[in-house]
Amino acid sequence: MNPPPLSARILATTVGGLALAGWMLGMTLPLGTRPWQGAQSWWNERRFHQAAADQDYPTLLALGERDLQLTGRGLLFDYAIYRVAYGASAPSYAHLPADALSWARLGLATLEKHLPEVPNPWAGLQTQAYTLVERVFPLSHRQQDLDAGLHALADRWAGSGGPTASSPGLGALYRSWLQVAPRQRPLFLLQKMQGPTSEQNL
Amino acid sequence: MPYLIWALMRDCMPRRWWFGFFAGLLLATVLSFDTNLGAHSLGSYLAYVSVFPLVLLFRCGWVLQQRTSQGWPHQEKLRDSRGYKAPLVEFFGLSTLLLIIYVCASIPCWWNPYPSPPASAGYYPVTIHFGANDYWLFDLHSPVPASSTLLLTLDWSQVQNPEQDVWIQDPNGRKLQAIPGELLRWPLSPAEAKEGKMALHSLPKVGVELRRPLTRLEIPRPGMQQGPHLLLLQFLFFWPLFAMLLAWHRRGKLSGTLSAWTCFALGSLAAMPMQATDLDSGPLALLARAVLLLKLALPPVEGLLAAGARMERLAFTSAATSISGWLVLGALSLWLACKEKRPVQP
Repeated sequence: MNPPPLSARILATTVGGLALAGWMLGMTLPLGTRPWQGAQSWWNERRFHQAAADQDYPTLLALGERDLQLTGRGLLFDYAIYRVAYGASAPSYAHLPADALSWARLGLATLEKHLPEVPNPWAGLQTQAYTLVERVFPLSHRQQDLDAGLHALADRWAGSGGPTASSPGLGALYRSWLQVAPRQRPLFLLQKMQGPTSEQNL
Repeated sequence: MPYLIWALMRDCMPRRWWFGFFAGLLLATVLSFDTNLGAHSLGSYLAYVSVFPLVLLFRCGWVLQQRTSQGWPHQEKLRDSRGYKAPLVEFFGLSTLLLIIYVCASIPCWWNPYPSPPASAGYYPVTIHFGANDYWLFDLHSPVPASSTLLLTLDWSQVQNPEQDVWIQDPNGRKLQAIPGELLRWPLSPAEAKEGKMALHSLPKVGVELRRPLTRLEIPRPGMQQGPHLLLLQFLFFWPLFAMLLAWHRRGKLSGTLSAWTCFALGSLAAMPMQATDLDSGPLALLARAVLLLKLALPPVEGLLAAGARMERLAFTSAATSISGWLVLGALSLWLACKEKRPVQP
């Protein structure tokens, strides 16, 4: 066969070079990336379960973030946030107060970082609200922690818990909350978080 | 001609490769649909299946290169002076192999020992470019499937009288009633889904605020029954790539492996979801602009290769005209591969 003509070589080099440039600039993904990502997320999930069993919280958070990046589904991420922020700071774990506060803040900071991109932010709001009110505020005694927690809860009620865990009871609670005078609203939220009609019972 | 097709198929997929193919297909099925071991997702299966045509593409490039070094082009000239028999044989052989791969890959969608993944949806963040109180402009970043729904969380805490009727309306007059404590589900019109941009406002203006970080686009995930349809679309994505491979090799006279790499690059660009990017000035921006220009020169067929965890975002978004354009590009490539008439050398 004769050597390739110059025009064909130039054209092929241009196409290849632009595809490579697009990949390096983050604009394109080479064919075959998605199966590779699928295999990575599969392996990531196996490691996530192992980290959950080992109570290795930093790894759990890192793998949850990785899963969010790879699959965009956020189930593992939501669970990692719940385990680290709300679970690891629970009194039953008998951590030192400073340690419990540190785990709760680490989980909340990670959640806040990814809240605009998680698929189900309403689940994150629930974790955020209960962690701030039940775990962080009793240790930090900062009013802004309590306010932020109650604000997150009101946001969650405004969306009736989100599309996957939608509950008419939450919508009814939100409408009752709107009837209350603005100054009494934080107290109303606190009562509903702790009372027999708390969110876990709806 | 059938013997030549059969010989090419045997060269590209030797007998022991079929064992590898079926083992790979079984592994893809287990890793995708097994309730305990797998991802339990059709998108994952479609992603794994897309490996097979890629392997075939590079294998075919290698076979063409081997045949060239063995003097096949000279024999072809003796066999057929018009020059279109050999490329047609190669194209039909590769198409048959591709068809067999996709028919076999459809089997787990029809007959699957595992329970089907439950009906679910993907949720995607939405950018709100401009938003005054009670008026919002949404950017969905790209065309989305027509079955998508926009989920809006409204904050009523500043509204004086939450019991009054409030409507959310688009510029065309389509409206939905907003109820405090309920997620507002706005089904996208075909035009909004195609354009990827939309505007909404509340009526009357009572001070309802949109919780921007909680705005999501809900796209239902295709079920198992749509698996064969998605596999057919994937077949249509790869089919013209094989014609392009032949054109690069025969008309461009590039080596088979280099032709396969060029087709790989073209396929990667064609599968790139088109997104509006804010380009600054500078050499990198120029490069990015050149990439976008090449992408714009190709038909927008990224929806054909809907695979992976976020496949619902791309599935069924390619218009029939784009698919036709992609197939015409393949036909043109095949014509180019056949075009050269090589006279028999004495």
